[in-house]
Amino acid sequence: MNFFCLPLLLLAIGKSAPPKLGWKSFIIYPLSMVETQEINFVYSALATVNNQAYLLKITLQNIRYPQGVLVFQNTEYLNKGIRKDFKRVFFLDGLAVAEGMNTFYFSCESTGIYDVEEAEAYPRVETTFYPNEDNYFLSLPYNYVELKNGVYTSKRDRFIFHGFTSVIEDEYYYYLDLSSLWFESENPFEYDSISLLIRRSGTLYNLLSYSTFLDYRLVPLNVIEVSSQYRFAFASPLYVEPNSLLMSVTPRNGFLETTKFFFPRNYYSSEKDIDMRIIIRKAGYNQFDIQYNFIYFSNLRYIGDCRNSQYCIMTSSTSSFDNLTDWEVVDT
Amino acid sequence: MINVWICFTVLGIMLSGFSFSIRLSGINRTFYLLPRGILETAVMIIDREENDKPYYDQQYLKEAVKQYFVSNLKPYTDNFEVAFSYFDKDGEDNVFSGKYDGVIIGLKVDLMLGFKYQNSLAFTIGQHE
Repeated sequence: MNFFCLPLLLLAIGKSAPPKLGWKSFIIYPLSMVETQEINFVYSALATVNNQAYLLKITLQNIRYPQGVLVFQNTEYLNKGIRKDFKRVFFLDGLAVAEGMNTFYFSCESTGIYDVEEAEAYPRVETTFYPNEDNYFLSLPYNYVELKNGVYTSKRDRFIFHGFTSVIEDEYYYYLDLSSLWFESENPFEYDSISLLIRRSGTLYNLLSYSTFLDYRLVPLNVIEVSSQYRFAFASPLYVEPNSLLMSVTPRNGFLETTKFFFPRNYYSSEKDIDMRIIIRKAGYNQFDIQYNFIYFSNLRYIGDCRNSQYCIMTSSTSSFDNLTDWEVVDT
Repeated sequence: MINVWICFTVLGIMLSGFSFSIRLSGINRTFYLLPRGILETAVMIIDREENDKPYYDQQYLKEAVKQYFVSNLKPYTDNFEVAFSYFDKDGEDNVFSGKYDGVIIGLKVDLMLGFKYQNSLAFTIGQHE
């Protein structure tokens, strides 16, 4: 009987066992030497006496402060038997950060307790990455540090870009197809914004958003993760005027909602090679920018003469009047 | 007197023949010069699904062709008859989808004395090879 009850007993004990005490979690992104940076942490405490004081301190040590400098201090009080997670965020001044290694000592002092957790952090790599045929791989140093459920890990930004060539060739002039572009990221991909920029051409793209690049108009993008591959998609529905195929980012009278970016009708000659950019702001842990410059080239017209177009109208005479049954009389 | 009557009759026949010939050639020219642009514009772009062959927007094509004939046959006739028959050039059965890449356009116009102009052309959407 006891033998059969043992697994249940173990399960019950396992379920009711209190989580680990001490430093539970923190996240240190690659350090900015300019901006103030938030660092979140959680310390898990269980008081053994009444009004027990917990002194939480964070000390930073680097070549500028070889003896260390106190960057955070806070005291919390708990009554006996109370268990609490102290969740705090502190703001690290970028001026305190130095080149090379920056060591953080997360410490907690209390009655009979002295918990210290050490974390080696490094400054952010400030860069703008321009992917192309030759430059399709980006690997930065391990400079992201986190403690998660008591487990300390260090991570890096690492990307491999696929299909990011200087010219994207499309079979024919129809709609923008970015399905050939995808990238891999070693970590869940974080970013601030993604924009597709299209070089202005007369008034053709005037219904798109303005861009900080004056010669370009902007369409917001996002990324979709499919089996560890990140692919671009439009961030919100687009709107197309069905006759001219002019595109808008906002709903307008006479425009239809669409998920595609169509190229303007009858402008193949000027728009067969469109200068475009994809700009990703604050990508990855290092919050660097990625700027992909490319030409979108359409080989053929969508429809026109059979020699230079994907589709063409072919005419033949027919004497099959029998098929024509539904005659309509029209006055001129 | 008979000679004068014969002259006027011959002149009348010649004028009728001339008028007949002008109308016939005008209607024929109008029919054969049906702009390809109308058919090209009628090819669906926005609603075309990823795996669809290109196909005609039947509503647009009917209105655009009628409008073209109304504008261009005005000098030759007061009315005409037009008909459309859609088909799939590969012989696929598209009855339910209504997505056809071929159309026969027929035109009938009364010329005179029971003579009718009637003609038809087939327009298919071909693909670049």
